[in-house]
Amino acid sequence: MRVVMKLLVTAVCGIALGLFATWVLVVRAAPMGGDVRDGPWRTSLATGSAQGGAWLRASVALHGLLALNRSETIYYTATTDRLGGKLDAHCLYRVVGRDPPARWWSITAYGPDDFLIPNPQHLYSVSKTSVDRHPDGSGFLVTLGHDDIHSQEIATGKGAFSLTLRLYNPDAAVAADPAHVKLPSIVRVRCT
Amino acid sequence: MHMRWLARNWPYIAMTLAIAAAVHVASVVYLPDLIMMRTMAKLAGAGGVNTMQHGARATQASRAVVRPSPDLLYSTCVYDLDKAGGRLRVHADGMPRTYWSVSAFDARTDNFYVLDDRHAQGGAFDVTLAGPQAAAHAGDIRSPTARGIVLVRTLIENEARLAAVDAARRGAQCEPAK
Repeated sequence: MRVVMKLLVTAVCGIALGLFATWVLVVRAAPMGGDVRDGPWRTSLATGSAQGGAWLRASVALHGLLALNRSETIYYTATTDRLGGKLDAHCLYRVVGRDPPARWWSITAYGPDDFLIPNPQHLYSVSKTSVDRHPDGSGFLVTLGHDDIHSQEIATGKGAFSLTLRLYNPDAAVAADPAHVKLPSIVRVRCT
Repeated sequence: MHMRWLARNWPYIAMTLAIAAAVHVASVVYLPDLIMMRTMAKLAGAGGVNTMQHGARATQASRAVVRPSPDLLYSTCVYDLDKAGGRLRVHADGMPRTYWSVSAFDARTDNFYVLDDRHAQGGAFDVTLAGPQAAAHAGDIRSPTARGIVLVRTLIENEARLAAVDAARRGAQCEPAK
């Protein structure tokens, strides 16, 4: 009887430990668990392709299901600002930069559940065609979170959030070397 | 005390670790299949399989697929090649003049086919998927699994053109091939 109890405890502990490892390594891991870094932006060369290993495939299935391969689209995800601080809706950020080298791009904010962040104005994203540019047309500035000063905003919700930068039909140089692309900078302005 | 406990129970500790490793690997390996099964069920919904469904623009209420883009219109065809008699035709004529792509994902989440507007002629495409065991015709795309999802993405480049772009992308269709 004692042995049966021990075996039962062994099985329960083993299953719990195995599922916990999956939760830590795949479910809680950064969205689109990328192996390539470009500042705070992370991407994976194997997204959308059959070459991804089991862990990457599981991570993409959870956080970026139905993603395209990198010759079509490159997805960069940021969970931190340029200094490494976690993106937090209690803080105000500015995203500044110039157009990344792609036919079309967009920046979209997502909540911790990987869905669009509820807000009455539907401020989910900005794109190459919708972004407010500097008067000389050179660069752009987007505010993450609510700002008193009027500027183009993306709503960030109430807690942690992340950003996805999509480059559709990226230039060949980007697909070949996605770690060295001039991407927008994410600057924390202040926190409340 | 601790050493004696360990000496007496090491087979159980080893067994716990072995079970944990097996459960971890199995859950990682099968997670994509489970997520795809759930996603295919959600996307197929009342419309069923082997038919194109043109989803509304993504908002905070969109919960079928993670990290949707609000700048794209998604049309989906959840396919089951066994029910389609082995082959499925996916086609469109008069897709809008903007970025669009048609991509196919197998039941393991792998993206095995993609075509975009730059490589299509005159806003049209016509491809046929063949099941793993089906007798394929010349030019067919072989799907690694019998089930999967075809996804058509159409970019809303300009809000003023939304209605026209939405109407044009509804020409994308899928049905069992004859």
